[in-house]
Amino acid sequence: MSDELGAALFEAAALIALLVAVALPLSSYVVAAMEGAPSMARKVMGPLERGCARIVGARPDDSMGWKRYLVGAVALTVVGMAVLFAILIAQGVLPANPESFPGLPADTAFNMAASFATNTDWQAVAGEARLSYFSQAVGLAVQNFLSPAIGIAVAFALMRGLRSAGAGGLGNFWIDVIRAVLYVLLPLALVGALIGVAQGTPQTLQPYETVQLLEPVGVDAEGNVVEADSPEAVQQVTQAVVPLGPQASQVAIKQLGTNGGGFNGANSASALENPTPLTNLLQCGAIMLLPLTLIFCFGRMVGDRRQGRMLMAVVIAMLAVAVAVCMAAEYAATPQLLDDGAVYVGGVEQSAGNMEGKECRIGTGETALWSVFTTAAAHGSSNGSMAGLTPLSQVVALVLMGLGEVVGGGAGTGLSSLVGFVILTVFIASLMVGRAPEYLGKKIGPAEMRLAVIMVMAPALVMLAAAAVLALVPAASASAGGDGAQGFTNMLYAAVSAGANNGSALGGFEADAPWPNLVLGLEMLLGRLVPIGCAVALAGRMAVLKPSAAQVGALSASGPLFAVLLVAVVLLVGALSLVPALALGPIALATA
Amino acid sequence: MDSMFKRAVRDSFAKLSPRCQLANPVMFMVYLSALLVTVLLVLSWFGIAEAPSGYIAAICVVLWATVLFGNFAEALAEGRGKAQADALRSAKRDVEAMVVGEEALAAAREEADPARAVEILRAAGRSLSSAKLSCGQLYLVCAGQQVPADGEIQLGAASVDESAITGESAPVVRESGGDRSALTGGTLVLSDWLVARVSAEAGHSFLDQMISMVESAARKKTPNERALELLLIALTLVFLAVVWTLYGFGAFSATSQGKANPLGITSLVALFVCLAPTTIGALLSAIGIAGMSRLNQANVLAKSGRAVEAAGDVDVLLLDKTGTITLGNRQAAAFIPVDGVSERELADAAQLASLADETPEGRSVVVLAKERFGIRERALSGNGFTVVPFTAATRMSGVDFDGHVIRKGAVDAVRAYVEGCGGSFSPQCVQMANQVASEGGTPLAVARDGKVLGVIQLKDVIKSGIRENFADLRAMGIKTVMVTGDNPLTAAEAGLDDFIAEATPEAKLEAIRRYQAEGHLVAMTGDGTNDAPALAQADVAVAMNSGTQAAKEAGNMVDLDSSPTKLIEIVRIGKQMLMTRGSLTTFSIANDLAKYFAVIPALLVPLYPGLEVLNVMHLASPASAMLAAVVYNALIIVALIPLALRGVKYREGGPNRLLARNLALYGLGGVAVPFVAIKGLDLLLAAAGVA
Repeated sequence: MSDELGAALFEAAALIALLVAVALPLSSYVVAAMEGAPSMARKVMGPLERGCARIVGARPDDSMGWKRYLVGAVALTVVGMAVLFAILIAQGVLPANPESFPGLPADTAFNMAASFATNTDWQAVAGEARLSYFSQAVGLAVQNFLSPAIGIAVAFALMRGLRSAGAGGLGNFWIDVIRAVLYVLLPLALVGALIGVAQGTPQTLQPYETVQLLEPVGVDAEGNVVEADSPEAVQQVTQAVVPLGPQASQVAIKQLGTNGGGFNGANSASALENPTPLTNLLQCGAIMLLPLTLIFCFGRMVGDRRQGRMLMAVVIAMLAVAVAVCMAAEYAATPQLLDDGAVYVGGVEQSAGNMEGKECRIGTGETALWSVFTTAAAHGSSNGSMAGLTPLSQVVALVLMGLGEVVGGGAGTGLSSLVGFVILTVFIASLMVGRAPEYLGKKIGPAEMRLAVIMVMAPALVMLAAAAVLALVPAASASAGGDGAQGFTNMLYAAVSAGANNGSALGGFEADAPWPNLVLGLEMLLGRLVPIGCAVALAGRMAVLKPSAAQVGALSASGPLFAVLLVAVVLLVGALSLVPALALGPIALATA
Repeated sequence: MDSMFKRAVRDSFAKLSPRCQLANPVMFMVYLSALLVTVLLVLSWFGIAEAPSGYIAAICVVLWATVLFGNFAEALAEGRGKAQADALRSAKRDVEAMVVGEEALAAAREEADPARAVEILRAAGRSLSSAKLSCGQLYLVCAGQQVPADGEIQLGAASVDESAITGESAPVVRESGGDRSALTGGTLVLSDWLVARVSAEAGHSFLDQMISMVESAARKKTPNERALELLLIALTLVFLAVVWTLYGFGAFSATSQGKANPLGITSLVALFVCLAPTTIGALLSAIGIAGMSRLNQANVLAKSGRAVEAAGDVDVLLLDKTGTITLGNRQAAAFIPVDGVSERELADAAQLASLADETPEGRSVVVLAKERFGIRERALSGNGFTVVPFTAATRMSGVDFDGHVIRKGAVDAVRAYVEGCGGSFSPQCVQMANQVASEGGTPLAVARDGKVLGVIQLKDVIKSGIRENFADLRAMGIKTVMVTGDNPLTAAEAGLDDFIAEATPEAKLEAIRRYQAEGHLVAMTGDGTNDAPALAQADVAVAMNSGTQAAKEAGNMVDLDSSPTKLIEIVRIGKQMLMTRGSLTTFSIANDLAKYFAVIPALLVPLYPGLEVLNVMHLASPASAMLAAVVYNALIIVALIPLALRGVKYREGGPNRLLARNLALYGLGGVAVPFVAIKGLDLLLAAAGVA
């Protein structure tokens, strides 16, 4: 192991440890906020909470059954999507459009609306090149708050269902969303935005600025940047346009709410969104903050902290393996890259490792860590090019996404999926010790199994189906951006990313075309709404089940053995379906 | 056994009908796959071939074998039940029943002489085929006749041979009134005669129920089975999607490079069958049927598989003390003299007082006196020897002998007697009695001529091995509760967790409800009519075959041996069923890892030669790899049939230890076994030159 790899792994370990240490107390705050317990924050924000509640006509004591709760969650997603769609179509005539961008075509607008309403934040077009300030700050940013809030609300409904003594409702959906936004997302995003501004991220409504380049560059006939005095240069460029806008506020919630859609196309690789080492570290940590916090919330909510700790251990273990593999692969690069002299891993004149597609300020280690976090957490932001990763790292990213939001996952939805896998594991483990399956004292019957199974398997089915459509429809496979294994990897990555509500992409994929816009947009909706529907219905079933007595001989669903089995079930059930596709994509590239 | 085997082979072909296959969705998909490949095979004979005809033929044969092996497992499991049902059916035949009227019964009741009574009944009776008997009719059955229908005995007592049902050759006594009044059709009256009222018509009798139960004709899938099936169906669908989409992925990969798609339908179908959870899918129903059949062999009839599964999950066991934990009655353990009386004097008086006492307790006093002091039994007749039997009023028994008045009885009864004679009751006796009671025994006071001699200590005798039984149960996580009156110390001594005092039917029902409200699953055994409400309330209710019709109706299982400890065995069988399912599911899913390593390189190497590195088993050729995987997939079903029928071994112990063991065995084993087996099959196939 090289020194650089060692240092990068050490940094990753330190950051993960720090995150866990922060998540623990934060979970206590989040539970208190979501459950309406008195707190300092409630003294300050209470009137605002009550005001919002009055506007939507919701009362905290109006606890909902699962159907009402689900109708709320779906309605808010669909209405939010419709509003965003309208804004994107009409941005040409809407205010705060200093660059006079025209409205988006319907297919692009549909894709983007579905993407941001489902917490995916897949961006078929670059924000700074196509979207007005109004679209960014009113359209996208609102969804960046609402979509994680819906996820958190659903996770809390599920936890309440599991905790219920047999006759409970799941809580009030609207109150849950209001609380998640006011107490969890807004304060964190506010702090994040202030730090961003202090570090140099723009936060303004002024138009884009044109600046003089220190050194002119040339552009050749194919549009590549060359030396200014190169004979191939057909054009000299002396000026650059710097996109401005309300970036800092957008970046903060994009990182915290497992959204991932950057203000700029380059996302956090851009110096504007991610200007300093401090912002890089904080943004990287912010990716995983809420998913990890919610895992501890789970332990608190169901009244068994060991459950939270066990799930945390499972998630951290899978995350650690992913980080280690990805970093090792990035620092080793591939024989092909080394042969061509395309990358230099010696570490004397530049950062060591595979610098292909990396931002020089950031380097290999931090990009590898970010790439793992962003695919583990159904996040999708990036601080380097995912396409520049070695094939093995892409396998890691695809597996993390393909597991279906389990290693952290989206805010709230990740926890729900994990609980689905826990139920599956409890079922198999209980049978193996000769007991009827029960989790947290609640019997798991055919109805519960059906919901859990659909919840954990639907994403894989959706991903495979979408990838097959992209591969088989000639008009769609034109977007692959390559042939053979490379083209297939691009397509597979897009399908998996959309199905997992992740939103990261491989640069080669030509996303803004009618077929991918439509297929991926539908996929994002299915990948979001089916698991949410199952989670809420499962919460409803669990809520009416009376818990059975704590039993001497009951299987411990929090022991190390159970944790090992859970990992095995997640990997076998979650990843086996992807293996053939991986073999045709990144594995074929890696073994070529 | 040989005929059972033959029948199973025959049945596995009969089960090829689509209707049979539909019952098992996973195997139905394999069935469709086999049909599809058969069509491809036929097409290949006409030159429309996507792969060499021989390869398609080989895959086709293996797929059909997979289906047949699944059928065979089920047929074999059913075989045992069918054999048992045939035996039962032979007991069920139409006989002529002697139907009598109500008046004849009333007249016979009046008649004191049984021989005359039966004359009256015979004279009034008319003959009717047992198939035509209807509920409420009365029938007479005499020595040497077969009981025509299930009934409730109204008059008479007789010894009955129930071996046709229980397999137990010793005859049992059946009589009117009490808890032994149920008469089962098909059994044989050996002596005397009985009048019974028909309680179940032909076709609905206990024997009919038994036949349908052991034949599993009325077998419904249990909730756990359905839940597991859902998981298996979902996995099957996912792998179906994997295979379908793989075709598209391959097409893109090939055409974009200007190559031909190497993925043929035959190979993809074979891949699907390999990946789908066929091992557990094929054995699932066999596991359930075999579990029920094991229960039948333990002489327990379950009315539903659900009850058996529930038994595996019971965590509170209500056991009657008498006969279950203790050996029937209490036994004298010591003589404790008071007030300076010698122990021998006390023993002598106690023996005299007990000579005429034929209860086991009384006998045990005589035995103890003989053991301790060699006091022999004396003649019961003779001058001045008057037996004073136990009465509810005095609550004492004893003798008047040689002018002495000797009495024994409960301490307070003797106290009343002593004080009635003008004496004062010895304080030392009270102290001793309390001590005996506090140690878990029952004190009996003995008095002679109005003076207390001492106390006899009666102790419950705990059955040997019962402590270990309860320790096992505790390790399983089951709490045992003793249903009894008097003393909790016996419960503690036997290793029980709790007891219910004053075991009235209401108290039992109340206790069950309380446990259930706390979220426990309760099992109990019972035989009496007054047990019926509690049996109906319990989650698992085992009625004794010797019990009343009401108890049998209320229970969801009938124990033909009428053994109170049978519940423990039922619990084990229930757990075993669940464990077998869980373990084989784990094994089946774990197998997929090795199958991928065999099949993926075989399929995709033509597209990307680099993928050869995934061929970690170094299989000879793509065709041999594919064949080895499907052959393994088919053979593993056969290899696991014995395990499915026998059940995974159940061991008491903490659930975590059990999980560790089964995970190591079936999880890690499931990963390792196919690597070895597929490599071995590949070597064989290559050596045989097949591929």
